[in-house]
Amino acid sequence: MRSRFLWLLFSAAVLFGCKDTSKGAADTPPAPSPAIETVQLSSEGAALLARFECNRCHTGTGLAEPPLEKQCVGCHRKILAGEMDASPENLAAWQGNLASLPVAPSLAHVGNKLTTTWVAEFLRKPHKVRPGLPASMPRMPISESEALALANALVPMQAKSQSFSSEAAGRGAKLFAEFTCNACHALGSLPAKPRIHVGGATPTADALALAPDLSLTRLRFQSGNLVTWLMDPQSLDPETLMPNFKLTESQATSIAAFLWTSSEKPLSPAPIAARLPVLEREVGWDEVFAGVFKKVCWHCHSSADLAMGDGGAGNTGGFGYAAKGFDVSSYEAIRSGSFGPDGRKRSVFAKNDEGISLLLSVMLTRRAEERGHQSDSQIGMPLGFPAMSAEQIQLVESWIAQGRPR
Amino acid sequence: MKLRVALILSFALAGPSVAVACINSMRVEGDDAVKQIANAERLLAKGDIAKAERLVSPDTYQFSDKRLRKKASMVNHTAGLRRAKVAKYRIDASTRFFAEELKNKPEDPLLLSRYAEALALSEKTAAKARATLEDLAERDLMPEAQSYTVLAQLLSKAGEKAAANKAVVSCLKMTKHKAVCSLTPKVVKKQRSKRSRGVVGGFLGNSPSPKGIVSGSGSKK
Repeated sequence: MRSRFLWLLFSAAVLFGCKDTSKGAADTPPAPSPAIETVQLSSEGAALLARFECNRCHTGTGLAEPPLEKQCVGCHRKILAGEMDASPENLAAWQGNLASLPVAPSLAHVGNKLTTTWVAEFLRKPHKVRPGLPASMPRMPISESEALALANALVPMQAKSQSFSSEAAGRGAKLFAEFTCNACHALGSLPAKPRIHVGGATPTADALALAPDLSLTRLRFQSGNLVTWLMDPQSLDPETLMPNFKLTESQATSIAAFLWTSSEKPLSPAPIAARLPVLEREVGWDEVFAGVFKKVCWHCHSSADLAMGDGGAGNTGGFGYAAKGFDVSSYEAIRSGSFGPDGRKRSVFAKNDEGISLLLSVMLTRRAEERGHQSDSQIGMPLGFPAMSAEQIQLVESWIAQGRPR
Repeated sequence: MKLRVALILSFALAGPSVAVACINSMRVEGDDAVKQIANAERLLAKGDIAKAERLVSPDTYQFSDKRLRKKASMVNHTAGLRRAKVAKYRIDASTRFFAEELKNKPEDPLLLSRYAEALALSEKTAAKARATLEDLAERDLMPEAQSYTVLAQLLSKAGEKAAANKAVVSCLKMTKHKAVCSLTPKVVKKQRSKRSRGVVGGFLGNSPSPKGIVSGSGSKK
């Protein structure tokens, strides 16, 4: 109901141009430029939103709130707020382990900000956009045409493109510093420096987590709406945490020019650390379970029967993936394997041509994914979350090498 | 500190609705009934059959969730099959139970191996038990040490000592409790069913939700 309201609000905002004509030009954000590309929200797009379960993490999808066992961010927030029905000990333990995904952006108004092309590309090849948020968009089994359809559903109209002069960029750089934009935002190699904003506001944890790396602005943002966004963010996205700095059009245009012409690029992650040698000491199930499977994997690869939920997306399916039947919540379960492409159970310890087990291989793939190397044949794990540390991978590798002892 | 306050405030004020919650892995840690089952399975793995049975006995614990009652029944059936002396009626009941469960999960290695444990105790079905376990072993899907024990016992009975020893070695890799890998054959007793209330209720796993349980997934008796 709320999501439907937001869509209506969005539609009204687009129809009426978000413009308050009673104000002077200097104070009034320019209306979003007339759309030159109108994409109807197709039933296919809505179906794709449902199929890929975008509402498990995002609000503003137009879909109903997911059932109990399928909420990701909603569940995390409830735990972090101490509202989950659980013992204080469990709550404390979980709170310490939830740094990766405390919040996700609403999708309700991305149509006013992002380009269809970028969204479609991002859906196919998700990458790091928000340096303050450890988790990123998960890879999904989505085809090129499906990604475009979903992007069209999310970005039904695009503002007419606008160009920016490099002359204004120099002034924009000064204004960028003056208005403390990097209190929340990184700009490529320049990291965010959380501090009190101009105007005295302290960035919230959510704002810090959601703030995108602005070196991606030219790739992501609709140029025709960038000045409007900088002048009055809430006119394009009433839910945004971006403060309204009351910029004049001239100031906003200068900052937009600075961001648009910046040669900064997102900071490359550190090179992949070399795999640590297999441990000589004994590594048992309890240690590898506590250090890796319970800590990272079992949230999505749990037991459907014991959990009395669905066992997680990695067990009974989700985010567009078919059920894998993979459960790491017990020794017996992990040894019971996962469903292969033929629908039969296969061992997750089966080795590939390089002599690496499937379980280890997906962990290593995730490290490469974080650095922009996406494999067509394998999805990295943990899906959408930071790759395992070298020590965690060493633990798993050692346990497997020692014959997977109890 | 300011950030922590801001974090809590922002979650409380600006967050999406958190009226419902994910209950996946948290239940495994937070729900007593779930922990009861998980502990019983751990005891089974150690070979502590009596304690495992006691944990899931209807006289000890009432499971209000249907799926948990199924899991409790699975522990109960498995424990029954792992006793040194097994009554024929229990073998038959367990065979039926696992066969029924496999209809929903035909590829589940744990169900398959425990079904094979039941089949292995009857002359007529021992060959099928062996084929099932050999297939799982071949695919590296033996879920627990006892799966290898049963295979080793079947191979030993067939006079295939080398293969039996290999299975025992595999069993020993999967447990710290050597007694679990014992080749001592079980005694099958041909006694008639004792349909005592305590055994049948949990044993068959089809009992209705006990009266008096109104919420949660179980309670101690």
